[in-house]
Amino acid sequence: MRRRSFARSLTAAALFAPFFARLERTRAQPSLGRAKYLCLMTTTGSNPSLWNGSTLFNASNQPLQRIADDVVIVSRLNGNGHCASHGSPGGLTGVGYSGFGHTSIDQYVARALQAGGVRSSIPSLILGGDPTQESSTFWRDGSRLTAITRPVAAFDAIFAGAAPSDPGTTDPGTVEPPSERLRRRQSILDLMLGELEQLRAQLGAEERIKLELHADSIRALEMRLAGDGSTGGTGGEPAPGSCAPPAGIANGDQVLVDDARCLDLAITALGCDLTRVVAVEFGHHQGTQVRLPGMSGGDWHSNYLHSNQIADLTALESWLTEQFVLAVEKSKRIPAPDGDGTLFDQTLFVWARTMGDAVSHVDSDMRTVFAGGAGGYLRRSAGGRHVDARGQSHQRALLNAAAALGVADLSSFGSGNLGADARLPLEEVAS
Amino acid sequence: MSFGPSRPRSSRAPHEVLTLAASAESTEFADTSPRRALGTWRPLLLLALAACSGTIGGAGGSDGDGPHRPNPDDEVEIPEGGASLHRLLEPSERCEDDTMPRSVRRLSGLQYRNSLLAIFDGDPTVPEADVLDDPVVHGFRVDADAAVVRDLGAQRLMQHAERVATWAVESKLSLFGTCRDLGPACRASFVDAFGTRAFRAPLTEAQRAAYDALMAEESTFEAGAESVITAMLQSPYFVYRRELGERRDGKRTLDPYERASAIAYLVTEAPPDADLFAAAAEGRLQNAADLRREVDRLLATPAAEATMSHFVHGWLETTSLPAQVKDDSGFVLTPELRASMLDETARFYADLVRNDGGFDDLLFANHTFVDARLRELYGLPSEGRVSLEGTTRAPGLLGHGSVLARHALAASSSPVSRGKLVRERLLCQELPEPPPGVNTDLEGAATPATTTRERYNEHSTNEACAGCHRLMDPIGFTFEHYDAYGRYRADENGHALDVSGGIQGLPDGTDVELEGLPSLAEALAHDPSARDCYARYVAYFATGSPGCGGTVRAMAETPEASLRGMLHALVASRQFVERVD
Repeated sequence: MRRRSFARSLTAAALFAPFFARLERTRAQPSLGRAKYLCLMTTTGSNPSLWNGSTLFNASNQPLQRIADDVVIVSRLNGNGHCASHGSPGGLTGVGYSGFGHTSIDQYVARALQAGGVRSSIPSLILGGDPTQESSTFWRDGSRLTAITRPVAAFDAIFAGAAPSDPGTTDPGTVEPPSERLRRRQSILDLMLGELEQLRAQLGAEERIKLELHADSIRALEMRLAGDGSTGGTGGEPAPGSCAPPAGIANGDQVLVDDARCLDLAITALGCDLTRVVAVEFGHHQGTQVRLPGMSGGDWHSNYLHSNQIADLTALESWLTEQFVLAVEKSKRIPAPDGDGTLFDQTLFVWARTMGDAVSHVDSDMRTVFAGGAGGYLRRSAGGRHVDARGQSHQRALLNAAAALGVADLSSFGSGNLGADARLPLEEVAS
Repeated sequence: MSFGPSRPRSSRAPHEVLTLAASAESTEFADTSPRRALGTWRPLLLLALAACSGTIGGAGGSDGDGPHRPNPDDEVEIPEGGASLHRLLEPSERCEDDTMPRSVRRLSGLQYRNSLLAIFDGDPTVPEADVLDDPVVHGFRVDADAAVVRDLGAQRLMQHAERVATWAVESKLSLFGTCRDLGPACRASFVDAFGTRAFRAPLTEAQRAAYDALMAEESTFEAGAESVITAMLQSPYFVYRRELGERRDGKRTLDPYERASAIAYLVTEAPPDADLFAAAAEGRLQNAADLRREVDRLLATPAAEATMSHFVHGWLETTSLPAQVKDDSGFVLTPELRASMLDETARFYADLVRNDGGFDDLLFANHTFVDARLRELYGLPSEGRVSLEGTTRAPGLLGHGSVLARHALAASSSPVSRGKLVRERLLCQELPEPPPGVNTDLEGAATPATTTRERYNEHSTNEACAGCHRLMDPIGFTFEHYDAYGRYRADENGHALDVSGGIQGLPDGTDVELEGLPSLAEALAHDPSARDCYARYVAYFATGSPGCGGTVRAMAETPEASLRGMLHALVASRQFVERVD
């Protein structure tokens, strides 16, 4: 899709039919202590020497001061060995490689929301990362999920949605009626499902899974086309301009810059109420090349972490923090899709990490940053809050994300052998 | 580590590694099963893991007061790199008498693009989009299990199919016939013409009927054609390569069109060309000789050159060289020079494959291919195919600038990275991650007072590091005449270079002492385990799965270790052409 032409066409409400036309929004019912949206940012670990000290903010996370009143930093979370090496799946799942059925917190929340009847057009979005690297961050039922790494592809996936494929190439006088396009699409997707079933029947169990995933994807698309992908939102009419896909999206030549663009797109997707759960990874735990202002170019892993380039690592951490803060700040400028305050008011922002001490490969001091209005869930205080987890399992902080979005059943997330309270969110984080 | 759709084995392979580590003094590695060709390698793995787990820094416990040290009751973490490689080392779980189950394999993003181009006779104006995400596994984007269509995948396929169909109706319908009405004959003609290209095989009667009905729903030929194109480009018969097979002589073997696709995507990452399609239609893909003939024919094409480039750069992990950040303060490794480096490796490899080069040539050939930029960097007398005799360049792939610059830090060489490359990519040996609590800040920036080697010697004096690093650093030290940019250096900042080193614990149990990169290249060139390892990577690249034991053996035992012969052995293997229910 031509992004410019797409943006231009936003004024034509019919363009979105049937995609957006059925995204019914009703006035929000106050839900104290509950967020509607989850924005998860994740990175590899760091050098804890950057974190230590008596002050909440330091050179590596200084941008957080701009949103200090909205920030809760949790330190000394224990990964229990599940986040202690490169590629560990425990960062977002709480489970090490020897476990089964890994599901990252974003997917856990998305699934719970769906099960609870909160149907989003896009159940969850996974973006970012390093397209050149093997990733093991996001999981669902023991299967690794692949993020959309490039901004243009992310834009198309999020905002083109099921709208007409390229209005820029179509003479306005010959635009196909939405009902006709819907009929054609449904005919084709029905045919596709039939073909998938024909093929599936010829395969063994393991191979069948591939086609079943494909069929599931088509069924979800059909629901979206039919307008059944209602947000389940409890809000009112969106404020004018609140759902404006960005123009001029382009792919860059730097992984981290592209990841930042993906995070920006993710916030817009939340503002459009297209999804409730977004997760954006920055870089990769090994091998991400960095060429950003104020840093000597190099590899995040080999140079900044393992060659003791503390100044560069500090600058990079500060840059990452800036991206997190920009996302939070942007959410403050976006009216909530249901008209009740701003997106910020209804969103929980989480910056989680897939490792703790990435220099020494130790996960006994994991750090998680929370921010956002979160529907009142987050216990904030002026100037920022620091919570010393004192070695409690880091999956408890992940569970705060689930609890914030009203997920009641937390009993199947993460590891079950870490103590009686390991599947409870940290009380100190919640209001 | 399995990467594909949900299944229990996603955590099985790492668990095996864990078992091996925990049984370091046992004989569990000595698996004598003929299907576990790497059984004899296991002692080294055991050695490595035992050494690396023996001296972990930091206090134990998981109370948050110190570095976490796993205890027997923990779900002990397994390093991803090792787990991933472990999967490659083992024959696929699904190998059954060296055959595989009936399968479908989603096109990679590149194959999808090439397949679209082929439908439209290579018209480069066909709309492009990042439709398919290709997970990187083992450095490649070919994994048969990892590539799936899920979540937003169907939407992205639909959206792009619609764009392409709109574009095609405007200007490309003439490729698929001249009639322009919606009568039965015209519909059938179009459906057959487009469908045969899209599905890479003649349509079945059921497919004809289904797409004819779809076309008949529309009110004009153009609308019908657009609908058919949109549908076929989303169809699993386009998006997936099928390897279902047909019953023949008591076995299930790939049908001629499946064989054609298998060969075409292997050699060119594109669908069968007209000659190959004709060979399938005319029954000229019946036996191994037929397949070898077509492999040889396709190897001569430009498309094959690109495929060979993708393989060799994926294997050596040099694909990312263009994005590798380098310190520009002393020397600028320009994008053009990086491209020259990549081109050198691709040309060198393709030349060997096409001209019956052997595995030993890959590592020890005394020639290379350089352009003007690389000639200057290397200090060679001429461009093109040049002899390295009497020059400062080391023989074979390991002496290429692409390898040397990619496996280095921003400003300095990296014996660790280079040693790791040899262990994992040339010997297929797993290396564990550093144990928790070990200070890994040892790759400090070079200082004028020391050589890189002297700084890395810390690894051997630090007990916590020595166990693992003795497996990498002594190999990496032999590269020390080549800096972070792939340039030769006689000394380092005026300090004499010591390029002695060795390979401790070759798969046959021996150690090899080395003196410089040529000696390493020669040792590897003649090492059967290195040849076996290469065969594994080729088999994985070809099939998207770990090679079955018989496949890898047949490839590795190819006479003269001919690189082309290995491909011949692969396409003649049961894994390539047979399937089981």
